[in-house]
Amino acid sequence: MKSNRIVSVIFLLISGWFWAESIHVPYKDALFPRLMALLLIVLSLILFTETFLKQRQLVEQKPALTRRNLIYMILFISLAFAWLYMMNIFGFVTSSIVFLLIMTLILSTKAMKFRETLFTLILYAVIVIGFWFAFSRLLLIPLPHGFLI
Amino acid sequence: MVGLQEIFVLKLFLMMCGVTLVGLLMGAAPGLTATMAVALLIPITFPLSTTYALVLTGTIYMSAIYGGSFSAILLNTPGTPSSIATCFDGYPMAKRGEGQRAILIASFSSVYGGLFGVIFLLLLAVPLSVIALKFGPPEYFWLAVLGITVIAALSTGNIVKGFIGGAIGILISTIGIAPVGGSMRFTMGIPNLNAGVALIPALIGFFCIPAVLDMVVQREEEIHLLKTSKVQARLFLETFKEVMKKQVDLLRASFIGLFIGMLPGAGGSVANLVAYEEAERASKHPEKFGTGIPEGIIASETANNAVVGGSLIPLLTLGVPGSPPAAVMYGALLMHGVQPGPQLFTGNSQAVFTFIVGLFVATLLMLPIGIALAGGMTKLVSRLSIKVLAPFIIFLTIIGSYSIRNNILDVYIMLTLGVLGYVLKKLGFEPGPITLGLILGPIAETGLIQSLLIGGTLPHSWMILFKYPLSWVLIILSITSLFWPLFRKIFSNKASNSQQSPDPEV
Amino acid sequence: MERFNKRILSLILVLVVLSLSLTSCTKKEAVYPSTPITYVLCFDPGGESDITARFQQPVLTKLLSVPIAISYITGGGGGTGWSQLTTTTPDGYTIFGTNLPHIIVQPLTGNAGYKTEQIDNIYMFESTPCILVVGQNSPIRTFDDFLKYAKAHPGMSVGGSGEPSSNSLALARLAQLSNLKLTYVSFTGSGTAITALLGGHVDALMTYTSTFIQYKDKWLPLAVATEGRLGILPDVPTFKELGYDLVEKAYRGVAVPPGTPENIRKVLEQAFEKVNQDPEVIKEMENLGFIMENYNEAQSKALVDQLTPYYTQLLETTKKP
Repeated sequence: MKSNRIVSVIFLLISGWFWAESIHVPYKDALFPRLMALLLIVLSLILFTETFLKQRQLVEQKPALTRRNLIYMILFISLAFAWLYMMNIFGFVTSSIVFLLIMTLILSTKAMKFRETLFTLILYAVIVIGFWFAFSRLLLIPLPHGFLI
Repeated sequence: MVGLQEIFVLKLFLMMCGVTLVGLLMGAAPGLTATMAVALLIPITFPLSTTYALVLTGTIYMSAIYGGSFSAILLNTPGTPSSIATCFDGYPMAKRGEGQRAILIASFSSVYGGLFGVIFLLLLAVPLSVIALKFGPPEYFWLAVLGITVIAALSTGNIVKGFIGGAIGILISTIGIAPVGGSMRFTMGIPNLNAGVALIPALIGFFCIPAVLDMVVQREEEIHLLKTSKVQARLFLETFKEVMKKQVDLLRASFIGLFIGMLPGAGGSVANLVAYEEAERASKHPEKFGTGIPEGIIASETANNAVVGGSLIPLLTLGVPGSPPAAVMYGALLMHGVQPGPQLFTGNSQAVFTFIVGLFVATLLMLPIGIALAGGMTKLVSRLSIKVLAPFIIFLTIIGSYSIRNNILDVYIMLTLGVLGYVLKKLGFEPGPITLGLILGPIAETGLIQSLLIGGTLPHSWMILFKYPLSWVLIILSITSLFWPLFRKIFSNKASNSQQSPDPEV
Repeated sequence: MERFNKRILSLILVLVVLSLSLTSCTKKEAVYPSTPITYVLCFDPGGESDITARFQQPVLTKLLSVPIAISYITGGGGGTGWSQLTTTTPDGYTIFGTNLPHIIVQPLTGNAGYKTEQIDNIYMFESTPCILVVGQNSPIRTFDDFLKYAKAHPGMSVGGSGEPSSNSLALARLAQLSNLKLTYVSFTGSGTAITALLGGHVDALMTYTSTFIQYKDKWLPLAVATEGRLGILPDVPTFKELGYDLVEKAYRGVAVPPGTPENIRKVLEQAFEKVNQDPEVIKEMENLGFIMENYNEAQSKALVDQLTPYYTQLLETTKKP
């Protein structure tokens, strides 16, 4: 598989990076990472050479990822990152309610009716505030804070 | 006996129920660990009598470990690192619509393993602790190597890719402060990476995020995640009989959990993976592991609950905790004026006996509570549509990753590793070996470097790794484990010589 | 219809946001403290810092009339927590447990994410001196035997907790003073170091008095690194009286982020001073082998200033290639 070839080269580079970076550390702390980097190099080479040998067609035809789905995935993950970023600005509760709702709206296949959206919003508000209360007041485990809660 | 009478007081019993419930919830929540659950209970039990405090602390430990299986089965995310292997067969089973069955299997297994560990704690704590002491740095190193060879069996696909995953996991674990030398490594100038890549965010990232992304792809299908089919009581009895029939599997996993729990420096996170691999090795149909078979869940959940009793052995006999939650219990004991250690079993045996009995009761108690709770959770999860479930899971993962170290970077790491995990999975690199590398990397490195330092007085310091008989036992086990797939193939080829099948096309 | 929904939705969102922002205004009033204080520990639960904090917690709660919530930010040998200290809001509602010599040596040995000067120690309340021990079955019976053994077996292994740490620095100093080759083997936390000695995997242990007290039936103490003999261990000679100028203790204290207002610091200082005089606390700590110390804010700073050149020099002169 072509991808195996590219991947093995990437791993070769990664092991190289670890090897190089371990110059900065004293011997006893560099030994193990270097050993492991070496191991990774050997394994990557094995994988690389495997791609050239006549192998059985271990082809699992997994359903191909459509372009549309890919976009949805990227969108979803970007929202997750944005959510994190917003948490430090707007606070845990606010960002969570907002982003939970946005994500749900994005994922809904038929456009959500107003009533359903409202209900979901209230549900999320209750759940998030409930979690916030349980964590920061009862368990006294701090959650990210911004200038709102 | 005074101790026993104290257990059967209604007030304590009710408190145990409450604590069990909290423990289950905390164990089930990805990111909240058994260690946190125990730590949480300490201030609450401080004003109580020593007996109550100990019993309740033990209760939450046991139930939290059991609770980890819920999210492993329902969400493909280990609720605690002790339930990683439960995902492998638990989640596929749930996806097939057999979520209830998976939970029941996990429940029975957890109770079995838990009782096993407690019984051994009661009867054989002192002799077992002597064995635990025989493990020095070289033995820990070889134990970690043994753990890593597990990858050979864990890899359902390309074994080389499995080992590459393991190597990657190990390399990631070296980021941060070196365990023995203390120097800062591979932090690329990001100060928050000084602490390294925390295990829990990595776990959540590697297991949970790819599952969520798959859900995103499936959003248009009205897949309700799980379908509960059978009638409750009948399923209960059937599954109970099914699990109990597999005594060999149960006992094997229990011993593994007990044993690994006994060793300070290796805990539930290692035990469930080793038990899983051993079950696969011993099985007559190893290729079925990972598709959703009961043996997989049995191995993982029995072992991790046996760890509870096992980890308390060195704690009570030597004063050295066998796992992180046990370490917190150590603090709890000290605060109540109970000095864990050599004097404990002789001097304070009454309190210890009561504690162990309480733990026994707690283990039995968690069965009805756990099944009820899990049943509720399963119904809830199965009724939610993906558009609600997927964002909510992200919500849980954020909370979980953040609450480890109150460090927002951990959450970023979790998401990043999640994306990475998804990509790697599509390329054929499973998350199991990577997380195994993450867990065992530090153990292996610590063992190796410490051994070399100690061996400095020998003509060649590497010789110390081969000096002791116990090391050799582990070395032989590792070699066997490593080449087992090969042996098995040769063996099965000899057996079915007549069939010359063409290259299989899947 | 779609657009109408979205408009109503955004209106609702705005309302939600507004109402939440109003609720978060009710935070801190004039009198300190008025809401719970978070006591952050930079080491794992179950360790010495945790035990100390748990003993202090009930008394502190009573003195300050607010709940004290213990939380953990572990990693980096404590460094993760301390680097977070430097960016925490200096409003007195988050205090951090600190340890000497860690906060001095960590910035010296690399990019720890904080500088020693940024740690404002309010109080140093206890210490655990280093003590050199061997197992009961060891051929070494006295410190003199230890020196002889070390000469005969250069590179003998002495275990300890952490590196760089009080244990490792004590051993480094000893090696320096005695001109012996001693190999320090670092263990994570005291737990595995204990089993290492109990199992005979290392020749000796440079550990803390608090650890030794729990195993005094199994271990033989050779020397302790204090100015004078300890009340709880009257039969153990000090390194000083044996001719080696080695005094090494790990101090534990509490600190606030830089820039915390003076009145808040004073309140905390007085609270911890009182906690440290509580007879229950004293009894529990001393039973476990901790030594009570009383360094208020100014004295803590002086202590840090006094120890810094010592450690700087020690690290310089014992630097390995």
